[in-house]
Amino acid sequence: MAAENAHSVKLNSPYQKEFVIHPRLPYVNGIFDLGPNTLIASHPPHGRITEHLHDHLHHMHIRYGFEIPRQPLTGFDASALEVAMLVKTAHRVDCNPIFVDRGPGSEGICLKIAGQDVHWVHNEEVGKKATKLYESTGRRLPKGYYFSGFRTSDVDEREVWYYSREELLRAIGHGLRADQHFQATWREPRDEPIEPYAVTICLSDSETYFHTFFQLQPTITLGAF
Amino acid sequence: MPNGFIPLSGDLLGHRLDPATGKVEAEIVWVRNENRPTGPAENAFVLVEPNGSGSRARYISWINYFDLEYAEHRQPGRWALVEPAQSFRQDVQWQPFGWSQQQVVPTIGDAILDNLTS
Repeated sequence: MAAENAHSVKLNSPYQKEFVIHPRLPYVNGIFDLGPNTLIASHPPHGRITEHLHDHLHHMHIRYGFEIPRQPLTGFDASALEVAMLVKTAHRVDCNPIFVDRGPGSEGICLKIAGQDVHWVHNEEVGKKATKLYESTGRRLPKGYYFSGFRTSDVDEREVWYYSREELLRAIGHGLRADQHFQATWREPRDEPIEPYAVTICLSDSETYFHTFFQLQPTITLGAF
Repeated sequence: MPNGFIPLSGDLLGHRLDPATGKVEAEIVWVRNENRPTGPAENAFVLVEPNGSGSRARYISWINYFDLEYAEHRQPGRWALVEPAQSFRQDVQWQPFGWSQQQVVPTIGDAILDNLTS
């Protein structure tokens, strides 16, 4: 028994259990033909682009880059990544896979972990978690907005998918840089443009206490990055 | 085909049911080919429901089976998955953004919005 415990990690505080992720400007230019510093952009219905979820409806793109630095990932055996977006109550938002490059036809090339593309599934618990974390520091959700939450999923985007610590360490390597895209659209489709608005994002994971909030602006403020 | 109707084809993924009788009230179809400007776009989800002697169809914002599972969770007995999907083809009146007094479909986030408004 003593030998089994010899390599176990003792944590003095739950706050030592962290899965650190840093927001960045987008890394890959041009996926879905969005310019290099375009974080929020609304489009009318347009032609088909594979992986674009709402191209036939009025929609608003939401995107950012992120960096997962090399880190020990101590204190947990497996985790699902989480993201929540503060969007208007009249809208739903859906996630694309995580992109690491631009492919033909404005498509993205997906990040693979454990041999499969990283996808996302809606998760209302993540939305509630983001709300609680946001409001725990004195902030209040603006009226008419809610946090729409997601966890990493199987490729069918129906079940939460937890990556083992080893799978995550292999994917992160000496540091992982990638982009995330979403599209918001009317919950009940209507023939009306979506006026672009700032979107607050929360990144976290299912197992640790780490989380970070940041805001995406339709027009970037120089000096903010 | 009656005037104003279009041929709609795709994959039938689910049904909206009358919970009392189990009778199919509407169908959820994933469109697999491009039909614009007279019909729905490739990859769109549409709801098809009877209207008089024919049927009418409109866009919904759903994107996959998860949305049907969510609807079934929100309204047990009201929704049923068709899995694996079946081939669907029907002539319909295409009304992309719906009609008056349409039944709103459950959409992810409904539970959170309930709490915001309660």
